[in-house]
Amino acid sequence: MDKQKNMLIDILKGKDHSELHYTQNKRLRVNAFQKKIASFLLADDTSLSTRVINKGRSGLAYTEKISKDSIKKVLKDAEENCLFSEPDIGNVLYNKNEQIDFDGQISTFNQISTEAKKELVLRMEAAAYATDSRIVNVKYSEYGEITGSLIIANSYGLLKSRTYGKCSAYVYLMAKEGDSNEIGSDIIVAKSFDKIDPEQIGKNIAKKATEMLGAQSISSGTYSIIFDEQTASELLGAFICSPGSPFYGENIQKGRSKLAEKLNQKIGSKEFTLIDDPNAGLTPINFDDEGVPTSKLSFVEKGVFLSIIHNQYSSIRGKTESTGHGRRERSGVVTSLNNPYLQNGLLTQNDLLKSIDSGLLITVAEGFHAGLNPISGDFSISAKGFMVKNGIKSYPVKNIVIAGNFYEMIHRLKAKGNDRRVETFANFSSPSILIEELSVSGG
Amino acid sequence: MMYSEDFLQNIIKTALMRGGEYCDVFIEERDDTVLSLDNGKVKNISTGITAGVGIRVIYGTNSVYTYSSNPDEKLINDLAHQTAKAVNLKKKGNLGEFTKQVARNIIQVKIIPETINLSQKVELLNRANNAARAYSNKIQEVLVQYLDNDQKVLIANSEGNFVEDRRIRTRFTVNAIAQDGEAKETGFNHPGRAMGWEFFDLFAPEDIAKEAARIACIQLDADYAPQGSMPVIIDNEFGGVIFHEACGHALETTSVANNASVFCGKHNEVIASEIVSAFDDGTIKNSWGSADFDDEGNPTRRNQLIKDGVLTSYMVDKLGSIKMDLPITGNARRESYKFAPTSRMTNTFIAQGNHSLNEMISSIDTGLYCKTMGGGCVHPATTDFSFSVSEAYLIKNGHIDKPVKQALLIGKGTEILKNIEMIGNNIDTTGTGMCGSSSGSVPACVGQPAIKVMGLVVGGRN
Repeated sequence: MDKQKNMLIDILKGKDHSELHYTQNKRLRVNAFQKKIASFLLADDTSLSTRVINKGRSGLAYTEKISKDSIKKVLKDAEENCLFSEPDIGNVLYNKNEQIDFDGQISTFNQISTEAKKELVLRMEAAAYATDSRIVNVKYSEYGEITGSLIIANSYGLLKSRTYGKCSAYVYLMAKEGDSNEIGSDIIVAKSFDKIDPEQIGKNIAKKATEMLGAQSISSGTYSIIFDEQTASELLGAFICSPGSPFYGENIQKGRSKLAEKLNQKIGSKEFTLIDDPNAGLTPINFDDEGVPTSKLSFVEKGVFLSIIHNQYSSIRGKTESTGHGRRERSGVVTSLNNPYLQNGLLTQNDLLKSIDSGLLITVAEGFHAGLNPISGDFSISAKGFMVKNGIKSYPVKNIVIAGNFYEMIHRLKAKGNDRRVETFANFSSPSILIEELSVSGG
Repeated sequence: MMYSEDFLQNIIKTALMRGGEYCDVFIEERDDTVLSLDNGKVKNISTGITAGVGIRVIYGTNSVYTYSSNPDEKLINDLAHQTAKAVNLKKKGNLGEFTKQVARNIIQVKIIPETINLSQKVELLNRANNAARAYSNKIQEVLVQYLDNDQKVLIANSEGNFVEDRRIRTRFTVNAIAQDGEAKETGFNHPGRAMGWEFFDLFAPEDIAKEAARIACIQLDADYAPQGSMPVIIDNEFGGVIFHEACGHALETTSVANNASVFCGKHNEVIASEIVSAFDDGTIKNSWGSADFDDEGNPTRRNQLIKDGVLTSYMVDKLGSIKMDLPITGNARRESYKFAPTSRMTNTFIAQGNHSLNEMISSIDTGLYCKTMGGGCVHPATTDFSFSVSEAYLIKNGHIDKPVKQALLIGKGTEILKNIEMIGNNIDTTGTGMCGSSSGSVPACVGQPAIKVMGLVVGGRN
């Protein structure tokens, strides 16, 4: 990476108020269909981004063409863009002369032969079919990996780099029995190749689809609901780490959060403890995209909102310090949690089931990108799962919509499981949770 | 882009050196400009260059795809070698002579956005912000975005296609937030066209902003939507997202050819109520989802998907045509060189019917009228779909009653198509959206006249 670092240092010579990002990624993806390798992908991408902040004005530009001319153009564009944006006291670069090379401990999966990866997807497909004769089509049995590096430099002498890498397995399949069709899918993400067990994954996802066969409609009403670890992660994550997150400083400052004025107050039940641990996830980091150091943070503890999540912009506007949550996107720097999760409880999912007389266990939920309103906290999501009777998982149910409100729901978080998954694709992870009284529409 | 025909012939030859029946090369350079305003200030101005190349070889029904950013001749050549190495068959591929395709000017641009000074773009944001705030004193925050992009592509394939295409698109989005006491609601409006700066002759920023503000304010007064199965009227324009989700995706060969669509083997069969006809048309002048050529270099087309309830065509890309032995329909699309193309929708809509909206509403005792739709999603394998409604009203005794919020519609595409009972005469095919699928996020238009659907499940809280 020294060559690239020197390039960035060269570009910054004689420049004030400038920040550079240089990323390089390598990807591989292989997919099996009907016992053959159906598609194979190899890819490289490179991108240089710059941000100029001058007298509170911010301008951004990026290029995937890395030549003298295009670098010159990008710098000129960012300076010009800067002139036309409006000054804001929050626009300040992280002005520390810090240098770090962070080793993301990339596993050796990129040294494993391509043949082994092809074999893995074929085995995963075969395992899915072998699990149950009602698996009629495995549309995707896929393995993917990404490795990459990021260098950040700014004109205050900051120069930091990090590496990252992870691999993943994805299966999407269909089960059929009579008129009933169901889908099973999941993505397993891991740091090393040997953590991916194709037989186990194929089998689990096949089971997930077949156990939904014959799902019935139910009548509308109010139910106690257990979201399994996957649907709980999706639902909570859709509020907690979306761009509109009520925990983010900028949203609070600009009247886009219902948690304004709620710092140090109880916003949820005692089970509601939220932690962000940047060093523990599948892509550990120790500085954010603005170069600010990151560290473990409990921002909600036993229902009490303890810390607002800040990047440079919102921290300066809020007269405090960045919590290390700046994320560079192409059209701006946003706030983003690094590796957030709801802390595990002590109960198994079975304990949770036993704790309710009747209710629903939700195992599939969809519609998050459209069915929720981050500002009001209202959500309506379509879902599938199982009826729970006398504490026991009963027949599968489908065709339901669960409607509620995030702020009310976290107060009604009555119990949680101990089954949080780390190896998840989702950007938020949660154990199974029990919510008392949610409104359900049936068919 | 400065790549000669000879050079590309050699690249295709190299990529097919170890076998394969088909190869295409996609070289892209794209400029994007995004300006965003919030809290009354222009917060970010960003410009960027996306540049890269993708090479694909198809052998049998399988494919290898390689891509890289920062292309030059040497890198493209290296990539072609890498592709061939990954194919690694014994026999050699075929290679045809190039026939240069003639531009069709489906995207006619009068004023290239790049020629407009940034200060003029900034002014639009401020005009929208002021108009939304002037609409009501309940409007407490306004987020505005101006976006333009200029994509130049060069596509060459082993069957002789050689295409240079340029797609320019402009979009303007306003998200207004209204507040009344503790209640906060949002309204969103987001038109776009495949055109340049003249887009703003069609749409004044003030009008776009007022519509967003209007929706946000109505939500403040709305009670929660009802629950249960009921007749629903989905109005025109973006209402067409229902056909896009509930049916369109399942007609793409990406799903059909892999036996993963409920519409497999249904060609020439009745799949919808006989009053339903539907099209996918990538040739509509300056429409958001249009282009001269698709991303495999084939001319876009107007394809009738459903005629009087009968399935008449799938949307077919190269791989789909090989797998299903069907002609290509000009539907191969991708977000960028970072994706291999797959069959995708362009501008998709249900054709005109003959009922007035009033007639349709007065035919319902108790139901829901969805004036503006939000987004949605679907599984083509089951056509189980869900989508949100951003502006809805109860229908009581044949009349529009009060507004309701947080309605989610769920159902099965196969059933909803058969349950379309009336179709309106107010067709509008300009609903603007970004559609996400395995080849990334692409601009797609949806549309329809108002439709009346029986037995949809409405998920609300009351």
